[in-house]
Amino acid sequence: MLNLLKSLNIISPVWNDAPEPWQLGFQDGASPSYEGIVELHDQIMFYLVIILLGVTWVLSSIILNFNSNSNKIVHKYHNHGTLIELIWTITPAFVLIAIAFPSFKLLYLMDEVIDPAMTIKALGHQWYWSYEYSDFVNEDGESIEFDSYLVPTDELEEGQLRLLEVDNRVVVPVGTHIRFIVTGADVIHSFAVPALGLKIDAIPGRLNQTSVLVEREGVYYGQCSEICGVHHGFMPIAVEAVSLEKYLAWLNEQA
Amino acid sequence: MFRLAATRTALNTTRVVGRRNASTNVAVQNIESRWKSLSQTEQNTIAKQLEEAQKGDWKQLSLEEKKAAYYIAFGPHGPREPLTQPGHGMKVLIGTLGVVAASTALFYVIRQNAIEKPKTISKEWEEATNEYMKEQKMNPISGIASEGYKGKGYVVSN
Repeated sequence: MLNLLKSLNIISPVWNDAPEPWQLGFQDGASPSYEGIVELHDQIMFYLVIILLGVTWVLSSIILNFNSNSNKIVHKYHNHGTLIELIWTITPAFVLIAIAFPSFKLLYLMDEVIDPAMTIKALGHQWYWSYEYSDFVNEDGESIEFDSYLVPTDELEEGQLRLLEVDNRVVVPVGTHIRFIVTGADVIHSFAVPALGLKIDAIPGRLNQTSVLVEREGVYYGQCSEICGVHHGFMPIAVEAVSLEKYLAWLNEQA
Repeated sequence: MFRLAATRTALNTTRVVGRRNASTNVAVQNIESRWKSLSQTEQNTIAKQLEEAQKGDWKQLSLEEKKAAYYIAFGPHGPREPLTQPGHGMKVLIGTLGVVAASTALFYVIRQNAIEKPKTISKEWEEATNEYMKEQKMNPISGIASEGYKGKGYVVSN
């Protein structure tokens, strides 16, 4: 059965750092925040299953036992029950509390920017991203800056991902606490890379910050996640995580 | 004399009760089909008569009276009138299927007239994507770049 579903592409066994055709599950995570998000998802899913079973049981009992064919006058007498009302008011309150606690814990943990070793500024434009590595300067004393545009379909090399490849990737070192400062140059955008657990609005006139610790080398794709105009779907994000040595070499190239 | 008077009174009472029951029986005959055509006053009168009759011994009620009492209390009239006629569900089902079929047809018409697929949607390209993904170490834990991976990866075209 599982193989049949897989062969029909109904379920997808592969979780990539980039989305893949017919994917339903998560991408493979590469940061502690992302692991936290997946864990919270799994915890909430546990409660969802309980709620689903409970509600299904209650509804099906009502439908089967108290329909107009089984009992024609039930509506006349079965219209109030204090005990059941107490149960269905208090139980959801406890469920909400059980969901809220881990949710807030994760929210505040992710909000914390832990002593970052470097800072990258990400600016959303209509319709491309530009990045600035203010911690590093070239010989002229200017910080490293570049724009990152979508590679058009007719310029893709064979095998590259359509609508996800960019001409200049954000290169970051692995195992380093990095702070992203995100803002918008014109309208609201959103800087989002699923596999890194990153999603933060880029709002003109406001600096939002978030931190990320990339745990393994690889390329992580994302897209603008706030409707920002006609080419909103054509301003992807590609983060390339490399070892520290390769990162330093890349920095030298930029300077 | 007194005994005669008392007997007469008793007889009269019996007659009155008998008469009332008879008139109710006529009024409640086949009430299900007539109920909606009755005026409000008539409905109220019958309902009140039945209410009175039910205050006595229920075993004394005729079958017609019982049926009528049940119909007035719980029958499909007033707020219990069914919202839809029989066959309504089938009508909705056919209508919905019709709309789904029309939208599917519209979808295929649009697809027929759409521009060509991008060049990335071809088996060759998708196989190259798989290689590219392995080079980039995409998903080295459980996916395409992982050890012993046997899935199709990005290949979905024939």
